[in-house]
Amino acid sequence: MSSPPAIQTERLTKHYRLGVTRRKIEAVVDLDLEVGEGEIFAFIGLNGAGKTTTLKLLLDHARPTRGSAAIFGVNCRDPRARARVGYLPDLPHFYRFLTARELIDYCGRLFGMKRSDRKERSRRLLGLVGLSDRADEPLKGFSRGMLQRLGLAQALINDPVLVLLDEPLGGLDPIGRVELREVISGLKREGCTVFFSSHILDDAQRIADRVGIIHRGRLLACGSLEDLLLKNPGWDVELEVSGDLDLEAVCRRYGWRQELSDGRCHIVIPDDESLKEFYALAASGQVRPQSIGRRQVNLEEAFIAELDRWQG
Amino acid sequence: MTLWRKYTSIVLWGGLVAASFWVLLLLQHRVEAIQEERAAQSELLYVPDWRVLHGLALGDDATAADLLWIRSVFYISAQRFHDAYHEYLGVPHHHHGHHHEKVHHHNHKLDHKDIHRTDSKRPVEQIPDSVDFLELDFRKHPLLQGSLYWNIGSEDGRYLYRMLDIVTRLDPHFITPYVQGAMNLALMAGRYEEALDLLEKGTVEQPDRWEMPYYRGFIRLFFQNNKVGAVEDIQDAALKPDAPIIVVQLAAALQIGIGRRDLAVRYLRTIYEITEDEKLKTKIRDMLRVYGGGPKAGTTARKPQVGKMLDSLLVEQ
Amino acid sequence: MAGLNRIWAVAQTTFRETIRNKILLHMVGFAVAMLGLAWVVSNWSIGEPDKIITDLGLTITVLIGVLIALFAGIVLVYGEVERGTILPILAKPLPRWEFVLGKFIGFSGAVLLVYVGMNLILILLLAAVGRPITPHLWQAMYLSIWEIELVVALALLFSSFSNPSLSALYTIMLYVAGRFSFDIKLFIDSNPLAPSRPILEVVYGVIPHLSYFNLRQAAVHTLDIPWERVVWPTVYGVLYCGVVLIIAALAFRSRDLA
Repeated sequence: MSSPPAIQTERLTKHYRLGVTRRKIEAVVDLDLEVGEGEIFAFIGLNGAGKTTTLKLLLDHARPTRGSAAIFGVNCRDPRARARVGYLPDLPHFYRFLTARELIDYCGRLFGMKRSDRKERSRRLLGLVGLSDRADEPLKGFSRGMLQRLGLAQALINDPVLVLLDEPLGGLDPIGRVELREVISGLKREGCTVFFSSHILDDAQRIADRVGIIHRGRLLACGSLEDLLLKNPGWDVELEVSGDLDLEAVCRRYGWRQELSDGRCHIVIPDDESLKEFYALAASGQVRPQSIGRRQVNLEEAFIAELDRWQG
Repeated sequence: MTLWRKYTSIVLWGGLVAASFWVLLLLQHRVEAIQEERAAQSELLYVPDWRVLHGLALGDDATAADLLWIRSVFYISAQRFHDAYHEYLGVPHHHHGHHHEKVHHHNHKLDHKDIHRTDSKRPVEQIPDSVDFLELDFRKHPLLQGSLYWNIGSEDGRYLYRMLDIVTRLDPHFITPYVQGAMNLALMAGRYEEALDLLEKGTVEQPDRWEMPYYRGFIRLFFQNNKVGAVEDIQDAALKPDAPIIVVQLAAALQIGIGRRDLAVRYLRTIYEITEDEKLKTKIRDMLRVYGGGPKAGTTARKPQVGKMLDSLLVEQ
Repeated sequence: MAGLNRIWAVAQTTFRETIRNKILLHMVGFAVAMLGLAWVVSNWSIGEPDKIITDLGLTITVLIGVLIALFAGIVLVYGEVERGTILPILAKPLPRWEFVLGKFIGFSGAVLLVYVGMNLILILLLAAVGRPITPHLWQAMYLSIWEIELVVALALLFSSFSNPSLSALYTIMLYVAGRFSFDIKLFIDSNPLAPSRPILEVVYGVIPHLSYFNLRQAAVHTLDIPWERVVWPTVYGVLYCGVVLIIAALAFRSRDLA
C-alpha cells in the first residue's frame, strides 16, 4: 500500500454567508486536489480566488460546507493531522508582548516538544531567518518583514513534513524573497512538502514543481509546470513581410497575435491547424518566415490564458 | 526661524488653553453665585428611595450606606458651617437659637411599644418629675460644641432623618449612624421622636449593643426631661454584654437620683450575679457598700459625683 | 498528558501577555488611588472609620477585579481572531477546547494576581488604621475571587462568538442580574401568582448567583459565617465556570476564523 498523498481534497466546498441578508459567497467549490509527498506546489489565483480559504479548510480554521480534506491520510478536522505541519499565515501577527524566542518556544510546546529540543531548534531557526540579535525583544516593535521571517521560523519549529505558506513572498523585500526561495528549496531537499499560495507568478514559476490555478473558488488547471506551460503553447514565428500585405488584417482573419520586437515582426500562431494556413501563405510568397519554433510560455501567460479560456 | 515658530506656537496654544481655563473658572464662580445657597445645600438633600439605592448598590449595600452616611456627615457639617458663616457676617438667621431653651416636656404622651421592654417583671412606678440633681453643663462637651448653638430647624431635620433611615436600612449593622445620627437629629433639629425611633430601630437590629439604649436614655433625660424612661433605657444599656462599667454606674446613680435606692441596689445585685467581669464585680461591691448604707442624705451628698461621672462618660465617647 | 502540557502552555502565554500589558498596571494604580480615597473618606465619618474603609476597600477591590475581567476578557478570544494571532496557534495540533481552557486559566491567573495584590494593599491599610484582621475578611476576599472568576468565564464565553460591544453588554447584564439574584428569588417567593413567574424562574436558574459570593457585609460586621456558606458557593462557582466554559468551547469549536 502506497503512502497517502501529503494533501488530498475531495469535492471540498466552502460557502460563506455575509451580512444581514446572508448573501451566499462561494469561496471554494468542489475542489479536488492532490499534492504528493516532497513536492513544491504553488497555488495561484487572484485576490479573493479562494486560496486562503483552502488553506483554512486544510488547517481546520474553517469547516467545509461539504467534501473533505486530508493531510497524509488524516482528516483535517482532526487536530492530529497538524502534528507534522508548519503554517505561515498571510501577514502574520503575533502576541505583542512576547519576545521572538518566547513565541517560538510556545509553538514548540504546542507540538509537545521537549524543552532542550525547543531551545536548540529555536536558536537555529532564529539564526536561519536572521533574527538572532532581536530574539529577546517584544514583538510589538517588529516590522512587517521581521514578523514574516518570525512566522517562517515558528512554522518550522516542529521539523514539519508539510509546510503551508500563505502568500509567503508578499511582505518581503527582494533579498528576503531570494532567501525565502532558498529556504524553500532547502526544505524540498530535506524531503519536505511545500504548499504555498501566491499571486506573484514569477516566484511561483521559479520554485514550484506543480501549480494549481484557482479562480472564483474553482480549480481551473493543475499540473506540473512543464505541462501547464507547454499546454497548447502554439508557435512563435519570426517573419518578413513582402510588398503590400496587410499583416494586421491577415492576423485578424486567422486569429494570430502580432508582436513587434527589435524592429522585427513576430507572430504567435496558437495551434497546428493555423500553422498550415501560415505555410500556405508562405508558399504564396507573401511572407518570408525567418524562424519557426515552439513558443516559450511563462506562467503569467499560461495563467491569463486559463482565465481567458474559462471566461470564454 | 523654525525654532522661533515652534516656540511661538507653543506659547500661543498654551496661552489659549490657560485663557480658556481661566474663563472656565470665572464661569464656575458665576454659576455658583447664581445658585441660591439653600438650593446648593438642598442638592445634598436629594436622596432616592432606599430601594433604588439598594438596586444601585448591586448587593454591596453596606458600601452604599457608608457613602450616604458620609454625605449625611457633610450635610450636618455644611449646616453648621452655613449657620456659623451667617453668625460671622452678623446676619440674623432664622434658625439661630439656643437649644436648651426649646426643650419641651411632652414625652409622657408617647407610646413606646418597645419590643425588648415587654419584660413585665420590671417594676414600673410613677416617679415624681421634679428630681433636678444633675449639675452638669453638657453644652461644654467637645462633641456637642457647635451643634448645640447652631441648629438646622425641624424642616431640614426631616431630610436628615430620611437619609439616616436609608443608611440604617442599607446597613442595619452600622452603629454610628444610629448614635451620631440620633444625637444630631436631637441636638440640631429638635426632632426627638425621630431620634428615638432611629435608636429603637437600632436596638431591634442590634439587640446586643449598649449604645442605642444608652443614647435613648440620654435624649430622654436631657431633652425630654423624662427621667423614668431615661433610667429604664440606661439600665437596659447597662445590661448589655459589652456595656462599659461607667454605664452600669450611671444607671445606678440615676436610680439613686430619682430616689429609688432600693431599685439601684436590686439592679446592682442583678448585674453582680450575671456578670463575669471581675473588674465590674469589684466595682459593684464598692458601689453596694456606698449605696447600701446611709439614708437619703447620701444622695444629696453624691450630687457632684454623679455629674462628674456623666462628664467622664461623655468624654469616653 | 500531552493535552495538559498544551493547555498549560496556552495558559502561561496568556498570563504573560496579560501581565505585560500596561493597562493592567494602570488599573493597579487606579486601585491604589481608590483605596487611598477610601481611607480619606473613612476619616470623614464621625464614627467607625475602620468599618467604612473595610467596606469600601472590599467593594473597590472586587469591582476593579471585575472591571479587568470584563474589559480584558471580552477581547480575549475575539481580539486574537481579529488580529490573526490565533491563526498560527490553531495551526498546531491544539484542539480548540484546550485553547479556550488554557486562555481561561492563564487570564484568571493574571486577574487573580492583580486581585490578590490589591487585597494585600488593603490588608496593610486596614492594619495601619488598627482594624483587626479577622478570618471573616479572608473568607470574604476568597469568595469574591469566584465572583471575578464567573465574570472571566462569561466574558470569555461571549468573546468566543461575539464582538466586544455585545460581549460587554451581555456580560454586564448577567453581572447585574447575578448581583440581584437574591432579590429575584425574593420576588419569586413573595409573588407566587405573578404571570411573569415562570420566566423569572428560568432567569433565576440561568443567571450566575453572584450574591452567593458576597460575604463582604458579614465580614465587615464580623458576623458568624458557617463553613457551608463558603464551601457550597465554591462548589457552585466551580460548576458554573465549568458549564460556561463547556458552552464557550462548543461555541468556539464550530466557529470559522475569519
